[in-house]
Amino acid sequence: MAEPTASSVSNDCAVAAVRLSCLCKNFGSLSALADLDVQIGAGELFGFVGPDGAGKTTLLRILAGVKHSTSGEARIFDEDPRQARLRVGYLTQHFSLYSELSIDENLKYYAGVRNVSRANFEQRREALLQRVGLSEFRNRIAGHLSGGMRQKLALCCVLMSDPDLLLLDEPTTGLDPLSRGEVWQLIRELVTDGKTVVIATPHFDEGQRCSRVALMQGGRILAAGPPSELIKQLGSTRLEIRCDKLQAATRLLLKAQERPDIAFNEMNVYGDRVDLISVDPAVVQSDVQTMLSQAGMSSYTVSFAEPTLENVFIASLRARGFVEPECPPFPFAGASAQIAGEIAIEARQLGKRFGHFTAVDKVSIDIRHGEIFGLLGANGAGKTTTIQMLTGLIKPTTGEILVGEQCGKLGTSEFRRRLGYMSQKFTLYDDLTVAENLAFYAAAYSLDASLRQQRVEWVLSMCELSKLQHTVVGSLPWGLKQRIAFGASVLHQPSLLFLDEPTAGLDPVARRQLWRIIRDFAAHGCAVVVTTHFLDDAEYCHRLGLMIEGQLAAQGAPGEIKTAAGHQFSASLEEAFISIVLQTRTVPV
Amino acid sequence: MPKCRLLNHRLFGLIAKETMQILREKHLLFLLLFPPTVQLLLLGAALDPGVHNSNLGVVDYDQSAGSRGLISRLMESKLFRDDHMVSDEQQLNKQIGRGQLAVGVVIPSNFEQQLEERHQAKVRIILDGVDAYTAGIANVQLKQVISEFEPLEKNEHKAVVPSISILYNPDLRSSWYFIPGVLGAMLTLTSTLVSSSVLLREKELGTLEQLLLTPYETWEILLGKIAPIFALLMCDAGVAVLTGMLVFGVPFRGDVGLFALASALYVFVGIGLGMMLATVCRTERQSHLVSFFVNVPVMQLSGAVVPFETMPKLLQDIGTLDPLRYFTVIARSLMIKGAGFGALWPDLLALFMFALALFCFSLKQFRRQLS
Amino acid sequence: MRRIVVQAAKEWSEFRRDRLSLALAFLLPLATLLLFGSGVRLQAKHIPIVVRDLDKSSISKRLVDHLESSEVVAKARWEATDSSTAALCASDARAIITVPNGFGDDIEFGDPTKFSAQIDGSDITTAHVMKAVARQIGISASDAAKEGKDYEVEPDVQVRFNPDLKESLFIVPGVFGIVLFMYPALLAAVAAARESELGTVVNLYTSSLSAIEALMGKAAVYILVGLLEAALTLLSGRAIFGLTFASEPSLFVVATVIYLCAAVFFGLMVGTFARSQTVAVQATATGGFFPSLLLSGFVYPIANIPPQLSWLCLFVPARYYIDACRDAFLHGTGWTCAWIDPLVLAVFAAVFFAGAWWLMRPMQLDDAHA
Repeated sequence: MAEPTASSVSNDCAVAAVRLSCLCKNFGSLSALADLDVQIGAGELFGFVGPDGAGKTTLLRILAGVKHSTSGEARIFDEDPRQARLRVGYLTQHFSLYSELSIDENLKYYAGVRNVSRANFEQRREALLQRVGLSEFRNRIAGHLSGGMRQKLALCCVLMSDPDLLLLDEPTTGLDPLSRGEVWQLIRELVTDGKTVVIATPHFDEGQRCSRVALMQGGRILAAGPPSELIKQLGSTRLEIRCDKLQAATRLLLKAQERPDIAFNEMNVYGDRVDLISVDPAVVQSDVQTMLSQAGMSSYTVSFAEPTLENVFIASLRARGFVEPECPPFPFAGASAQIAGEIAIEARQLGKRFGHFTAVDKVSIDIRHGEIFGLLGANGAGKTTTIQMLTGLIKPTTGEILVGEQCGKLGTSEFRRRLGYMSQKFTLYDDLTVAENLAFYAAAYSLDASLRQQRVEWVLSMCELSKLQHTVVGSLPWGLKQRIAFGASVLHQPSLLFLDEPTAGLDPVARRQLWRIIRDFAAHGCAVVVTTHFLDDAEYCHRLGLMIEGQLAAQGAPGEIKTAAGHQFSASLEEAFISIVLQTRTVPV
Repeated sequence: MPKCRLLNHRLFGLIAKETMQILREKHLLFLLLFPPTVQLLLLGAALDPGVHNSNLGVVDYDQSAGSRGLISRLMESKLFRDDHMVSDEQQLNKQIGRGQLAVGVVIPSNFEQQLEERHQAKVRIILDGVDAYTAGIANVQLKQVISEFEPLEKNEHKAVVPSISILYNPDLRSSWYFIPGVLGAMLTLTSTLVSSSVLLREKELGTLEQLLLTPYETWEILLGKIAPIFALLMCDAGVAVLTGMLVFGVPFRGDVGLFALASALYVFVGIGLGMMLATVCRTERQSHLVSFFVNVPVMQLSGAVVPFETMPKLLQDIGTLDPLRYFTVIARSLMIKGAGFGALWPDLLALFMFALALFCFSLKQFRRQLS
Repeated sequence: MRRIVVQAAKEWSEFRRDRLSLALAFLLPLATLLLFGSGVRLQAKHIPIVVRDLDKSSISKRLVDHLESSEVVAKARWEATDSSTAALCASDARAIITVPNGFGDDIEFGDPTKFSAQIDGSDITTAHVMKAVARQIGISASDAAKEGKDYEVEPDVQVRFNPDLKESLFIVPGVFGIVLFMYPALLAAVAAARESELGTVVNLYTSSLSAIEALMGKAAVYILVGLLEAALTLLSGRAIFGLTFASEPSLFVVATVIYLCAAVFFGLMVGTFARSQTVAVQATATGGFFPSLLLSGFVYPIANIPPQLSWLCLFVPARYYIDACRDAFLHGTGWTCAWIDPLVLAVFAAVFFAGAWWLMRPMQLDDAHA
């Protein structure tokens, strides 16, 4: 699928749209990009897929001509990127729109600074606004638009000058599933029109929609090629195992993994299933069936599916000698598993209004000890506000919050002692070292000396930072900061844990490790609330709540939600959510 | 007992963290140390409301011993840097018009003769009124010099001689007047800027949320933030006083402890102002714009830089609401006059009330911020 | 050219929606004008003094009356009982004048006599005035004693250009200089730094704008705002303080436009250099506002600044503009004498623009931005 699909606008079909040779970029001693060799043909839909810190944004910036490379070459249509900049449309994650200008003013500015003639401007503006459904809102201030609308507007702005090459940096991050689908529809149409589209994304499922991908990690390309080929090259099959006593089954499978004669080389545990990757699926299937029957479990299913791009990624990592670190368990003090099932905190008809704007409307949820509750929804749906009310940071306008006995009274110092919180923006102080940050949080929760030492050591080994504990946090990559922040938030072994986007930007391995720890906490009686818009993360949760425009549109275990939306339980959560969103949508998004 | 120990422990951890943060933030440290010292030096040296080094132009139509005597007496008075002999009055007027001369003296052709015959003579003085300030002072001083003028031959004693003693600052050194005032102004600016920066930065970074969810009580958080800022600002004050003493020879005649108390109170006021700004403004940018607006009248009405008595009554009255006014009075009285607690307690009380009010207000607003 | 207009249009749209900045841009200069214009009075009046009349003769009483009726001094609230200088120490009085016993008799009989004046030297302005007052007392007392006047030189004082010595006429042109530098520079600096801080500067870099076009587009708006501020301040100065032009205003207009350009380019230069709005504001304040306030001859004469520091005054644009202003409103000499001021301002403007252009020229994100 590497041939151009439609005739390109320019005459140079033979010239590659993008060519990278030995491209390197260093920030001081940090190597952000190393030896990249890629060629992208005109009319391709190419994806650079990888976690945060892989170098995707740096790469796009070099291609856009706003950053110099340290060595090597980048050519756009055989020109220097800065020379070619008028043929390129660059969509950044947050910086493309001027929030104080209206839609019309934004478009006018973009057209004006890129030499679009007046006639073209009028024509294109109408066409683009029509296409994305924003025509009636042309005088609205960009800052007042929803996430999906903003992203679509940003795309329109970038398309005003009718560029031949589009560089899109995480175009769908933070959007609800419906908007995401709409944006992808637009992207496909652009490719059909003959444009070359390069996307940078951390979502592996998006990578699968591209004609070719390059999997990136730490500034290097692990593997490149059409997704289907990469998956085929694995030569493996993915087995999905579902069982009604999933926890017990998981424990068995984990023990099985330690056996030397084992036939599966990867195991992923989700909220409602376990995935096994194996080159010998038949053998594994019979092994598993035998194991589970012997353990006395009767209702389970083992089905085959194709591996995902994420599996490819992890396999590539392993091929490079990457060994998954052995993460020690958290030093829990005092057994508290017996409170599992009790309500930790409950919200009844919770509501919050800011002036005329209703952020949260009649939300009723209950969080129990020992379970992981996932709060899902697009940016601006009200997840963060709900959590802020549950933690006592802000006062609700309507409704009430009841706190279980274990946790004390809302708003008191006692309550906060039992509370663990990790915010979406940062938890750590960039100017201090890792050790100083951890020492501060340990002091804040008045941990005594021995416990403090144990726990701090645990955080350091979890993040593999034992030697680097005196590095200033500001100089560490995002993924590492995220993990340290998580560690800092659980130092005091909270009974009630709120995690706001804990896995954003982490690579799949780190993500799984984090989930393992979260499940460990739940198993020890902690009540966990997680917000995320990674739908595959949602699969890890015991129960989910989907928020749309401040209201709770659906609630229950992942399987229940799928059924309620009219889907099979083998369907993806994304499909289920799209159905729900379509059902409840009141205003165009 | 154990709870008390724990409380100390966790507060200490907070203060340690805040201190480390400030020390690591280079541009904040720079802001705390560099501009205040420079401003102090600059203001101390540059501000001088006296009249000297003006340009004097003389038209001497008489050219007699008497007229020359008058001219040399004028030059002796140290009002002027140079005297320029100008040929005629027209020229003199032109030069004053161009701003080349500040003062012109025209001695008529019969000056000496008049003096000998009638013991009375007139001279004409022309002042450039554009610089009203200099003109006003020059007016007074010139009149004095001239009134005291006598031809050299006669030696009559005046019947009445005033015995003038200038207390506390006998040389009338302007730096002694300004430095205590500038000290206060500098503390105001620095403390409001730094404290609002520190608070707002945490707000903007999002770590404030995290902090509010730790077991710390609101007062502990505020205290933790204030403690290192306070310590640094007190160092600032100390450095400023030492600079004044070493570079300009400003005396320190009062009680050091009392001065430290007054400075501490004023620093609290400054921090309180900064905190108030931080709770009222949403972004650091807004707080800077607003603090510009607040600091200017505060400095203006306090009498720190522009003499208090020169302001119209209305502004003097409004100035009673300006905490810097009280600090300036305390600083000046203490350093130069050696005033003690007995004389200064009303001003100290005023400062204390300001600090208390601002602190309480900010405490209340602090938690309300997030919603 | 069209691109500059596009950039300027966007800057204006952003600016007018930021209510706070808009309000501050027009209210603050006005407020500063009012504050400085009416606040700064250079003649001390009603200086509190304590007069101790130990003589209580008719002559001494006349002296005391004369003092109390004067505008320059006022009777302090203090019980003039003892001889201590506590009143001075407590700052309740600035001078203590003591008329000794036998004063009146001595004057009548033509004998030499004294009186004492103890003056608080910590407040130098009032101290100077009190010194003069004390001497004046001496002189007029001497005159009272003499039957015929002996040698006496009488000055006939003419004050040109500002006969009433109205300070407002002196201060207000100075306020122009401060206000018209500070606020446009601040707004420009914040706008430039904000774009960097938010990251939207990337769009600028990927556009077809050159560095010059981008800078001019940004500057245009703030220069216009500055002109509006100038007009507003001028009208207010006229209405409140009676400030009028002394001659034809063409020099003033030219100087104002160039000065505003210099201020805005300075702000853009600082804002492009600064990574964040905080730093931009602080740098503008330290580099622009304080020197303008202190070294421009605004209140305190430049002549008084010691030579070690006075060379700094050469580099303060406000100084030249205030010169031009004072010329326009008071001296009235116009182009013949004050032509050098707009010229120097133009040099400043060019230098600042070049500085801003140099910083923006690469049109790349620097590596510290990462």
